[in-house]
Amino acid sequence: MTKEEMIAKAVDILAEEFEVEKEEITPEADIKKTLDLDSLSLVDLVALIEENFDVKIKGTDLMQTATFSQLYDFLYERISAK
Amino acid sequence: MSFDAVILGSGLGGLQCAFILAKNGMKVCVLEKNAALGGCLQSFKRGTDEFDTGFHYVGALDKGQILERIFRGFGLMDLPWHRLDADGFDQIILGGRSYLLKNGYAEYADGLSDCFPQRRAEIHAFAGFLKDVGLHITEPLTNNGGDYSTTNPLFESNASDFLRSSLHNSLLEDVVSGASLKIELNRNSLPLYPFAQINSSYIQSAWRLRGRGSMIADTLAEGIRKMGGCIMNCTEAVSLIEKDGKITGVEVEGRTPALMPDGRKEILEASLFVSDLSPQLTLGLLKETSAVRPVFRRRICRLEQTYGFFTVNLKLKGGKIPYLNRNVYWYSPDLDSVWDVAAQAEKGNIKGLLITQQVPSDGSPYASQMDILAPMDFSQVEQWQNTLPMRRGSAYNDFKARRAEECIRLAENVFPNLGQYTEKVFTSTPLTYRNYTGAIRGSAYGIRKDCNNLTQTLLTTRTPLPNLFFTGQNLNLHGVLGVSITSLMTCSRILGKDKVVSFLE
Repeated sequence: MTKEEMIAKAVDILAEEFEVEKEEITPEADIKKTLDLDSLSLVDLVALIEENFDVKIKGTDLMQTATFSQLYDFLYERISAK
Repeated sequence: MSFDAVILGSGLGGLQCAFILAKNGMKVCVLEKNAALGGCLQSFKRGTDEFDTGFHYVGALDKGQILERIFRGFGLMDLPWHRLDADGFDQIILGGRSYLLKNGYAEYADGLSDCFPQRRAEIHAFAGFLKDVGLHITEPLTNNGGDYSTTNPLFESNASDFLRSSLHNSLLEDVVSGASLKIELNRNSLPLYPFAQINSSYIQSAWRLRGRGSMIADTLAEGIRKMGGCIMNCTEAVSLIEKDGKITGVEVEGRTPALMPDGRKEILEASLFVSDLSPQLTLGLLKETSAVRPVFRRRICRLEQTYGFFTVNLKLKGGKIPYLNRNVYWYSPDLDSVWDVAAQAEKGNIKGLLITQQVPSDGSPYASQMDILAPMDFSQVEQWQNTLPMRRGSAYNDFKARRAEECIRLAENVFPNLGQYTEKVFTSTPLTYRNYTGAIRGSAYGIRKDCNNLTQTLLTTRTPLPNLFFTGQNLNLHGVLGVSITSLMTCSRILGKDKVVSFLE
C-alpha cells in the first residue's frame, strides 16, 4: 500500500465512523478538534486504526500526533515496518 | 416512577454505588432481574444447605487496611469476619510439596526464604514491591480523576515476565503465583498491576465470613433501603432509552407475575444511570443511536473473557474432615507451571484446584461443607448453552457428574477419603454462573485485561453517554477489593473525588 492509498483509506474510514465531511480531514487539521475526540473516543480511534490497518498501537503512541499529517506519518511507518 | 439514579444490577459494585449515591442524598433504585441480590455474592440453597456462588475469602480487612476502611463506610465490618491462619492463610501444593503463604510482608518473605534460601534477597525485594503497590492502591482515586491510567507502567508490564526477571527461579515463580487461581494466570496477557495488587491485599490479612457471602449484599441492601433507596428484584432492565445524547429512562419488565403482570413493562426515569452489568450487556440494552459510535460497540463486544469455574459444593459427613483455617491450592504433579492451568482448562483438563471450606457455625473442629473450584473454559459447556437450567439433559448431567468425581478424586490428594466422607454433591458450571450472574460466557473475572493492548481492554467508568457509567469487575481490578475500589471510582466520577475520599476516612 502506498502512502497515498493509506491516506485515502484512512480519510474514508474516519469520515464515516466519526461522521465528519471528508473535506474537513485535511493534513494540517487538528485530529481531536476535527473528530471531536475526548479520552474515551481517542480509544475508538485507536481501535479503528488497529482493525483497519492491522497494526498494534499503545495509548502513549498517539500522544505526539496532533495533526492528521502526523498520524499518517506514524501509521505509514508502522505499516512499512511490518 | 422517577429517581435520581437507577443502578442496573445488584452485584457488589451496583449495591456499593447505590449506597454511596444514596448517602449523598440521591433517590436511588437498584434493578435486579433475579430473585436473589448480590450477583457473584449470592448464595443458593439446596435442601437445608446453603452454598456460596463466588465469595470465598477477602484480604486487607484488618484494622486500617484498605478493605476494612472501605467496608467500615458500608457498615460491613459488623459482619462475623473470621481471620484465616496468619502463619499460613494459603497452602500451595505443587510438585508434591507444600508451601504456606504467611500474613505480613516480612513474614511472607521469611517463610518463602526458608524454602528458597538461595533467593532470599529476591524474595524480600518482591515482598517489598508488593507492599509498595498495596500502599498506593487508592492513588487513582485521588490523582487521576477516578480512573486508572492506561499509561500506568505496572498495568503495561507483563506479570509473568516480571516474575521471571525478578525471582530467577521457575519453582519460586510458581509458588508466588500459586494462590492466583483467583486471578486468571495468562502468560501473554496478565498485567502486573492486578497480579501484584490482589496478592498484596491477601498478604496483609485474609478472612472468611462465618456464614454466607450473601450477608454482604443483604447488609448493603438494608443500608440502601434505610436511606430511602428502592431495590427491585425480579425486575429486568430490557432497554435503555436515549434522547439527545443522554439516557432518560430504563424500560423494565417484571420477571415474577406476582410483582408485575406477565409482559407488563414500565419505564423508570432518572437523570443518572450506573450499570453493574457487563459493558457488553449494557450496550445490548441500548438501541442504535448516533450517541454511541459503532466502533465503540465493536471494540467492547469483541473483548475476551477470563475463564469460568467448575464448582463442586460438598456437604460433608459430620466429624470426619477437620476444618482447615486456610485455603488449599492444589496443582497436578504433571503440570509444567501453574501458569499453564488456564491453557489446560481450554483443553478440558483439570490441573489445578482451589479447595476451601466454610467456617463451622457451631465452632466445631470439623468442616461440614467444602467447595472445590477448577478453572473451566466456556467451550467445555458451549454445546448446552441454549438449553434451560434444570433441563439441560442427561449428557450435561453426566458431564457434570464425571467432572465432580474427578475433582473429588484429585482433592483426595489433600483430604484422603473425601469421597467416602461426602454426603451430598452439588455442581455448577460456567453456564450456571452465566445464568445467575449474567457474566458473559460464565466468566469468573470478567473482561481479560491485556498488558499488550491496555488501551482497549482496560475500560474506564465512563461511557459515550454523559449520564451512563460503568462499574463492577469488568473494569480495573476484579474481586471484592477490586470491585470496591471501582465503585469508589465510579462514584468519584459522578460526585467528585472529595465526596468519595471522605468515604474512606
